[in-house]
Amino acid sequence: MERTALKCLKWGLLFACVDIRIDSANIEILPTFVGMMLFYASIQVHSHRTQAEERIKPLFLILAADHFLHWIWEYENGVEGLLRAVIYVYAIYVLTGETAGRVREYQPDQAGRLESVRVAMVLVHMFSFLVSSYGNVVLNFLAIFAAVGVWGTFAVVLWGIRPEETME
Amino acid sequence: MGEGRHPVKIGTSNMASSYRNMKTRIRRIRDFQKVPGRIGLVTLCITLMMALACIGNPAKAEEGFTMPSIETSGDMEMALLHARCWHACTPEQAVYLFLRAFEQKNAVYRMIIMPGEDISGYEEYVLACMENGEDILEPGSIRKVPWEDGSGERIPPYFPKAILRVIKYDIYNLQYSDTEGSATVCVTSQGINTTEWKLSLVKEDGWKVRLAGESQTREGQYGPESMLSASARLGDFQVEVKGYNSGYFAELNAMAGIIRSSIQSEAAGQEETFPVQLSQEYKIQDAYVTYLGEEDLTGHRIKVLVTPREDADNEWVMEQLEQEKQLEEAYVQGYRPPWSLDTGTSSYGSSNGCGFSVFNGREMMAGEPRLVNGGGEGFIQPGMCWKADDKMSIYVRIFVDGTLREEGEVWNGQH
Repeated sequence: MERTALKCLKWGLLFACVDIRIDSANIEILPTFVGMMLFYASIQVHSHRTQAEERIKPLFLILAADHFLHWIWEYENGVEGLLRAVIYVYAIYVLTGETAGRVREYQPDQAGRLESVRVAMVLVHMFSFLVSSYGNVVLNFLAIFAAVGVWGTFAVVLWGIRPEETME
Repeated sequence: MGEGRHPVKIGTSNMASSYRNMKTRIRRIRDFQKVPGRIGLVTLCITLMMALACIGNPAKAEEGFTMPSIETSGDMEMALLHARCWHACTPEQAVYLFLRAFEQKNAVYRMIIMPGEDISGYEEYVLACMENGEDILEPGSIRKVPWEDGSGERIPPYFPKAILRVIKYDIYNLQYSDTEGSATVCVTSQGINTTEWKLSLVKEDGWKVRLAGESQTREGQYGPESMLSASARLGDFQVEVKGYNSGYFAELNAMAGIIRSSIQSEAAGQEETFPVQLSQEYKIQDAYVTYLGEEDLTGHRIKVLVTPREDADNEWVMEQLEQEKQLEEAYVQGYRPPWSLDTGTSSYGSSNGCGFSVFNGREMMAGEPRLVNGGGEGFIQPGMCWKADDKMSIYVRIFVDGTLREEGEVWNGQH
């Protein structure tokens, strides 16, 4: 995997997952739409892109636009939220799969871990969606705990990937 | 068609380049069928999410209530109409609005939870109070309505009587079905009396509250009505158990009330959300023992041990019973008044409300119920406390001077 793409992926993960707000103005310091743009950039900078990556590029643009709208204007819409969640799950799943495919030749163990993490991400996302409607404190805590764990694992695996240039 | 080595001549067709195009087309079709690896899992999950979202009930977002500014009778009419369009979504929220309406003498909050059949009368009452400048809780010149039995007249019971310097509201035995419910509110104030309100709840378009009864007791003598009760005779001892629920709204504690009162004038126009459940509700279980025998127990030590079951682990509690020796020594030495109840209580595991007490035998001779152990477990989530059809049971062991005298189970079924 190319160095620049890896950097974009790491920074994108930081912006997408970490939510820090200034309470008084309710402004997100690390906007999620920047994370989506960085995911898009991590695909775009590749000299050779796979077909799957080409397909999910516009999805990240859509997600970036949607998150940007939410960043400048507070609103809630159930259908839009559901679609956003679904597109995000699909896009991030494919992106991590393609990343695993790129590093499999040089770092098969990291590729294996990435595959496991992406499955865990989808399952945790599903679990969070299912328990969100019940308002159960214990289940909500479990969902948060699982999400933090999975994203933390993803970050660790990502930081363990070395760029292609260092492999030669 | 026709690009490359064989350009098209108008009026002719050229099959030569079709093969190359066909090859491209087939390759494109083949590539189109390619999907990212292991896409089945995420497709399944996405399908499940969409299916559940389509068949599930939509979650209702918690709507706030905006208190309009009221200066004239016309403003009040509009505000009451606005209140009729807002509904309390849970019985707890309805009770909360009732208490807030009383605390702040807010006619609009009261309208939100006013039963449909009382709305028109209530509206007249409120507008009359406003026109006459009367206190909505205790209007002096408002037209009274006759009692149901025709024996007299009274001010319509839209609000309870005014209470000065309220300290706290305790909500006892809030229980409800899909269509109706009831609750008892105990109002503690800086006075000599404790006030009890009986509330009846009904589900119309939203939950509504009616004041069903109002009474006062002298401070320190109030005891909530039990939802569940059990009693059994164990030899010369009568053991009684009472179970009830006790909850509260943190938003209504004394400090919160002071803060709200100070900003009440600025509340108009600001959206406010109301709690949909009690801040905490306790599942209380109190056990009492009464001595009904003729034997004189003066000078004897009576220890009553209460456990959730006969085989419940009580070793730790038994060790704590040794503390009663210190209490007895203190009593002998005169450090405690002779009429005090030497009570040691403890709880263990998750079985709150079970423990032990030590009595001086002379105290038992009065033949009055003595509290053995009281207390309960607190819950934040609703529906975890006593219900009317629950089984409540304890196992009681009574020791006289360290010797087991009586034991048995006490529960609220048929013995």
